[in-house]
Amino acid sequence: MITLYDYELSVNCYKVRLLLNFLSVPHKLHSIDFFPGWEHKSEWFKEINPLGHIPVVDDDGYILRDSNAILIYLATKYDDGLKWYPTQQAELLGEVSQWMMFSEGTTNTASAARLHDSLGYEFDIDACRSGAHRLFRVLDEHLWFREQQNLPWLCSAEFPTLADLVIFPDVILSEEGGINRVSYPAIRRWTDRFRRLPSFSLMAGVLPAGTI
Amino acid sequence: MPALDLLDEGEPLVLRSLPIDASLEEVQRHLGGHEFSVHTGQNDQNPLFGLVPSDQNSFCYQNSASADPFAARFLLQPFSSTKTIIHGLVAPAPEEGDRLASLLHYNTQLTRFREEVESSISVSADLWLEDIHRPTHGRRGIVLSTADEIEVEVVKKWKAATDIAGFELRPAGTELPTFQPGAHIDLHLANGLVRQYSLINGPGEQGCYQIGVKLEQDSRGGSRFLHEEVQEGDRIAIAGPHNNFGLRRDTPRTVLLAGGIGVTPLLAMAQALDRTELGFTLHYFAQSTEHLAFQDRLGELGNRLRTHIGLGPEETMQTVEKTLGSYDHLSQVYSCGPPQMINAIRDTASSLGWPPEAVHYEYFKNEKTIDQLSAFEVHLARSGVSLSVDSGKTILEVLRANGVPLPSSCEQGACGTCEVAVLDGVPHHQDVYLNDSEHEAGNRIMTCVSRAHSKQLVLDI
Repeated sequence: MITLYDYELSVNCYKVRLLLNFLSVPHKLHSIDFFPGWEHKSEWFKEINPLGHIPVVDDDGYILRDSNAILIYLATKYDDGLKWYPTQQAELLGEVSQWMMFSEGTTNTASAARLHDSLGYEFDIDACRSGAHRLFRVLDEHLWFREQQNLPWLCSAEFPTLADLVIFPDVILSEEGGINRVSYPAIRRWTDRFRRLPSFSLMAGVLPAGTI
Repeated sequence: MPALDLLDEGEPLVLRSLPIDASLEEVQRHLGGHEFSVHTGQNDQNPLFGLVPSDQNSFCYQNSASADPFAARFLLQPFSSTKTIIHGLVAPAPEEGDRLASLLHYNTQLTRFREEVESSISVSADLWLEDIHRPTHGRRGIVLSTADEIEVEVVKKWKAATDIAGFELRPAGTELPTFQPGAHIDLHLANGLVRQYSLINGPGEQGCYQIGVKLEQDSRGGSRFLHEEVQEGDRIAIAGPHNNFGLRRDTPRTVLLAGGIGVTPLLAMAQALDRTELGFTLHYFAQSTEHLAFQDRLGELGNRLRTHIGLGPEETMQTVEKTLGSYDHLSQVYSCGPPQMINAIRDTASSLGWPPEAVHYEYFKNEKTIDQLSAFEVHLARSGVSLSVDSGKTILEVLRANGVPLPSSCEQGACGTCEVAVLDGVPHHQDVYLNDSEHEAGNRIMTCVSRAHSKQLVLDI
């Protein structure tokens, strides 16, 4: 059985919950009192992850930290069709990896702005917001041209991949960091499609499809 | 909208709409002079085309005569004061196989155009606000957030009178807040100084601020910098507007007494009153007719303006006494000018029976010698903190040093920005912002200059 060390409001934990639910992998959540308890910095948790970060999964004793690593592991092991992380298709896998790298940028800007506004993290909020808008412009342009080719997702496949999954949470929660998405119609349509996927799971701040 | 045959026949190619972070006016201004290239499939042979405005929000191009007819229409959708969406159509539509390449081509063209527009306004704004003109010295230890600052461009600088320069300031990108007559703005100058200047705009004059700056012979750097260094095209950060010199607009007779550059807030008031049925007169005392500033605005006031040229202090006060007359419950007086003149006007009004609430004034500076000898405690009632104010330190400085943020502006007891309510204790007032009865009431204090006579002051913060 998989245990996910989890915090409801964490974007990175949400990514893992999304994939576990998409893949219908049985799991249990171990809630960490991230705020205000800072339990992820506690002695007992640092024995599991010396970095003091969540999420961490424990798959019958196999312990893995870092959301991207966890997602790659889960998708490779539990996705029978190998679609979320298409290890058998070199070009497609390259694209997926490229956009997973891109999500480092959205996490450091859009999600950082959200942490600044909601949890009081000390970031340069103006730099976070303008950085997020720069990335969102690139994302919106890319998605618009995908649509022109009848491709609904970030990568050249008819199905969503980890690329969509890791970028979606940063984007859908951006308004909690003061970054609105009025200028990005293609992004808004893409988030709508993503939220209509079967077994899609919500979190606080993420509304069902059809809303903004 | 003019008919464009090529666009109206058949299906044009609908381009990707692009939001631009700029006002409609900015985008229009750039679009008129920008050239785009037609997508032909052979990159080195793409002919250029420029768009011509066809109505306010639409720009067109049509070339039907040549062997390769081509037409384009760009529509500008104003989304907000800082965002405009550009929608484009071109005809003829390309073959299906060229469609994506064509869309990419025009998207690249429009993206470049967007960069051109945005770089003309926001890049310089960022540089300016963050790096160059931000005061860096310690005096303004607490800079209010950048959201409170507005970046403006000096679009006009002119000689308004002897030693007085007029400045017209227009915003880069945003809209200016509205304001009431008597309001002033803070100018954050590149030399690190912050100075207050009254707005002289009349009612309904939106979109720009106008101020008048007198070159002070003993300038501490503010007026000299503005006169000698600041040029048309320069960008300045401003804050405000703030209004500590409010105008009552329910008074049958308003007397405005202006001395020299003190005319600026009163000119805004006169223009506002001029649009009403209320009676008012602007008395303008100046050294010579060449010292009368903003003659065009003065001219509009007709016989509501009385100028008094070259009077000495005594003659000035005789004129003031005659003008004010005895108090009649239907009058209010507003004065602004040199401190000695305001002091004399207050004394005269008081001796003629004018109550303090009918006598309004704004000092541009506090000429009193500030006594900083006393030492006392301040207790902050809401914060539950007690702090000692030693001699040589102001209350404002002590509060800031202990992490209690308080806005301030002139820091010489003239502008009223750093006012705090007093709950207990006896203030030692040294400001020129509060009037005598307000000083006597003792329930407000200007923390930048005033101190305590009692051992402790309890402040409502």
